[in-house]
Amino acid sequence: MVIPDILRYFRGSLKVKVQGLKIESFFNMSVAHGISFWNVERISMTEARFNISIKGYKLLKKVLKKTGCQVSIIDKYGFPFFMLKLKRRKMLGIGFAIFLTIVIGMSSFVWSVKIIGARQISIREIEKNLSELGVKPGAFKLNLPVADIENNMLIKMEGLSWIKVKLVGTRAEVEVKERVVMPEIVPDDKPCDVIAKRDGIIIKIVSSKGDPVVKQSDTVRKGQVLVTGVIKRPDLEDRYVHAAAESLARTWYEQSCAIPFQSVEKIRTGRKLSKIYIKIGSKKIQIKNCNISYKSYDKIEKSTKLIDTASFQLPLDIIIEEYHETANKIRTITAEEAKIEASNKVEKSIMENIPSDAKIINKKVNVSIKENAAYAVGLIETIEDIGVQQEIIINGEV
Amino acid sequence: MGVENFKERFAEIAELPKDIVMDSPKVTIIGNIQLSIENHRGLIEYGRDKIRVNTSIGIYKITGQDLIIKSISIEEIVMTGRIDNIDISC
Repeated sequence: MVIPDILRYFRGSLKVKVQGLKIESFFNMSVAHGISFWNVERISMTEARFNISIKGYKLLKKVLKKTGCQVSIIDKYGFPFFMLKLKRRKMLGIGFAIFLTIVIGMSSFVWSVKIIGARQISIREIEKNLSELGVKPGAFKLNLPVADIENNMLIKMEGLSWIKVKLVGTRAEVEVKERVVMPEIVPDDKPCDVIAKRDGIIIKIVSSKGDPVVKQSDTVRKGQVLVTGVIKRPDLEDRYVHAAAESLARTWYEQSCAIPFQSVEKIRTGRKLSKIYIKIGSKKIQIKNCNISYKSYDKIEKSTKLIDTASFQLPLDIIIEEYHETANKIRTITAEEAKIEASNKVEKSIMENIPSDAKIINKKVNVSIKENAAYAVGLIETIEDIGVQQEIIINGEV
Repeated sequence: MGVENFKERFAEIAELPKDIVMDSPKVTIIGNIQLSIENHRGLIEYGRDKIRVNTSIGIYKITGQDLIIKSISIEEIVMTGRIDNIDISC
């Protein structure tokens, strides 16, 4: 019954009242003319109500004359009448059209740019370059040459190895892959030395090419040559080779830090005030104001988008500024606590500097207490390969 | 009746629907709430509790309560309401 109903809706139908003495014959004659009715209700001997299509209603005239019945329209349904109503109420139609254009118009702009995958390169720098190429909030979406932008970005930003600009609704999603900076490797055909990249005590040195100049248990300084690429033999001309070696050395990392027993901390008193704004584009409209009477406070700005689905966003934000009153409080910790804290902190900061391929062999943290603070000195010993290749420059030539 | 008899037998032998061959009405009833008559020859009487429909074989009289003609066209009459009684008078 659904499809006939839809058809009826688009053709339009009428609810009609028929009055007369020969209602049955009115129906019979109409039916014989090919007119159909539905929902026929007998109200009384001389009256019936029924639904009829617009087309059928127009054909009724002849039958009415013959049977002496009279009809009057009670109600009108369907799309043709809706259009008629709309014609009469022009502003409604115009409003609807404006609404549609606004929705379609607004959704054909880029309203936010999201950058995924940036680690070393700052997001701000990527954003700046993107906006120079046209990907920025407010850009018209339909004529963005995405492929060109991607290419130009790769040319502009050296640090990127791959970029993908995707337009998802009103958001531009920019996915980037950074170029991993290659360690400087001396080409195989160029002569080079192996030098130390940090201080250490050599544990093992195995050269596959070149002559080692240091022995096991030698102490080396940063920059010192470990394996030379210049091979000197008596009775032979000097040869230059591409030196390569595994040079394991014991190295150490040292750091210190201090934790005072007393420190000043900001603590919220629990009292707060708030201001509310609506942000349209870049304009802020204040809705709720208040006087901030606190001497010191934390200001927290929360911004929520009014419409924020994964693919559709509008530049309408509600901004709530919260002012939390704060008071200074002195935090006192015991000497024991300070000691633990200091040693943890020192160890953590040293660990950050140790390369991942280094093997830790010894960890030592000394904590002492002087005056009002705990001092920690941490020393971590590791074994790592400290050799780096460095090109030999022969007589000024490379 | 000879012609009618022949038509009936022909329909039976040829396994054709009798309502088409014999031009007779086909009545479908759903429970006691809906009744449709195909192949009718017009309304004779229509009231809330009584509907009479003319057909090729005679008059169908349907009595019931709150009878409404759901739709009427040249092929079919569909009526709904509470049907109490169907009377066929040939």
